[in-house]
Amino acid sequence: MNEQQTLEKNAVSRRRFLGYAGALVGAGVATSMIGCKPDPDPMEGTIDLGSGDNGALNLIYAIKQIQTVMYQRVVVKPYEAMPITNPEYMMLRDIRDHKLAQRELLRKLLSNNAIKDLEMDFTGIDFTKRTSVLSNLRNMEEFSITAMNGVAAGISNDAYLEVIGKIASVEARHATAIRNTFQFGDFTDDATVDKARGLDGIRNPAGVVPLLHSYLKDRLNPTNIPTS
Amino acid sequence: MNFSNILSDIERLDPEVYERTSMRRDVIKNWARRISLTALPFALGTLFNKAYGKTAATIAEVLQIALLMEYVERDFYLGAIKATEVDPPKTQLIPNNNGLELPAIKKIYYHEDAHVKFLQSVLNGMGQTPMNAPKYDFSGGFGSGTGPFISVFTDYGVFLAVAQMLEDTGVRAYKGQLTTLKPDNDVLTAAVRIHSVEARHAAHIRMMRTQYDHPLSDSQTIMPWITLDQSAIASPDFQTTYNGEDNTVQATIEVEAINGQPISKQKASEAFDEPLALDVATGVFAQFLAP
Repeated sequence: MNEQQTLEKNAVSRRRFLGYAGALVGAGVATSMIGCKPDPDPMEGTIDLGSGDNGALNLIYAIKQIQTVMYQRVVVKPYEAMPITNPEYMMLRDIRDHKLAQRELLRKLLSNNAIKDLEMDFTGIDFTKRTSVLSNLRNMEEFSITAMNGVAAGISNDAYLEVIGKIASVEARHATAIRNTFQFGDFTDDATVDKARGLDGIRNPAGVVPLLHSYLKDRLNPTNIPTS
Repeated sequence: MNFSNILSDIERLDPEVYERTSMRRDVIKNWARRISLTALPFALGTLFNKAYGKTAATIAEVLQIALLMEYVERDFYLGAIKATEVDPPKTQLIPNNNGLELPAIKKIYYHEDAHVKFLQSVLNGMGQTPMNAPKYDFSGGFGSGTGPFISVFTDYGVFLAVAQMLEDTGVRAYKGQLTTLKPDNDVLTAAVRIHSVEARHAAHIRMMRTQYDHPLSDSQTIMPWITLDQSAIASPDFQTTYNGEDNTVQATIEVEAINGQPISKQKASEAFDEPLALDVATGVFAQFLAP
């Protein structure tokens, strides 16, 4: 079984095994249904990210899920033929490995409080076009940085704050790598880092979740995540 | 690649380097003794005593040390820009090979200047007097002018290596103080928002090094992130900043091969940056101060 199949196998088999009831039990009760799809998969309810520190970690965990699958798609089938020694390819593969490590760490840290494996919706990405891939990878890096900056003050457990901090700077490194790959030198601009104070962007969970929805079939509920 | 060959090569070229280097590591570690504390502004001297003694700093003290680090970074980049644009240089420090070098350094300089002003305003808002900018010795000689980075404003490779060290140290320093700042939501949020900007800087400096012919590199590829405890710089004078970055245990969980996934020790170490103790981080910056 190749890497992609291994990574996605867990998501697919778990969902099928647990079925609809499992989706409710997994990480919090679905609070609303969003209509039916003519599709064998169970109806997707809203996934409550949870409250307190678990909420913050689940938000970042959701982001890592999206990023891991996105990078994995690119690595398994790049937009252009690239030998594996191509620096651009190696960078993408390294970032994929980092996202995977971060996702699995959060999965293990959250344990029974982890949300389910999310269903991705990448129909807005043209994986055959370099510009489409890189701009969407960039989007997710930037969303992630603002999300982590937004939840930091709401975390009460020191160890969890440290973990988020450790991921946040690596995220900024990833963002730089992707942005420079797209256009070298465009590692920041005034929209990203404000001119007056030199501060990076920040979004609260309610501001992040709609952005994540553009890459998800699932709907996330962030209303119980504290920001202070 | 064989790292131990590089170490033995360095030793072959300069048999006394490790004697000097371990002495130098002790110097960085014991920087508070090297700097004439009475020659420094009062606030700075008190802070250094506290940071050296490993007593937990107060929030105001952390911000003063952060301000100090931002001063050093800002004026380091300003020095480089001047060596390129203003002073008639023997060699123009920042080259114009792809046209992107000077604009990038200026972008970073403007951010650091903004950080200085921002931290000054935060300290003023807390009723604290922000410390003034210190005097500098960018050779890294604690004021002697004869430190190991004496070519920092004439050799672009050395300049970029020192820039990388300052940025990576700054990231680790902010990261190390997040739990100290936790009681103040606004200050903590400000700190994480500076911290991610410094990480963007660090990553960009690293990528700029890959675009330059002579980046003071060993044969390791320079990536935007940190692999194990490697500086990716061909000199032991930068190592203090990277010690401890080879950690792969996060919140008591081993990340290498986590959950049966193919994550190597290298990748596990790259995926998470590590905090640095305040006294160690301050020591890295202190070598650039002059009384």
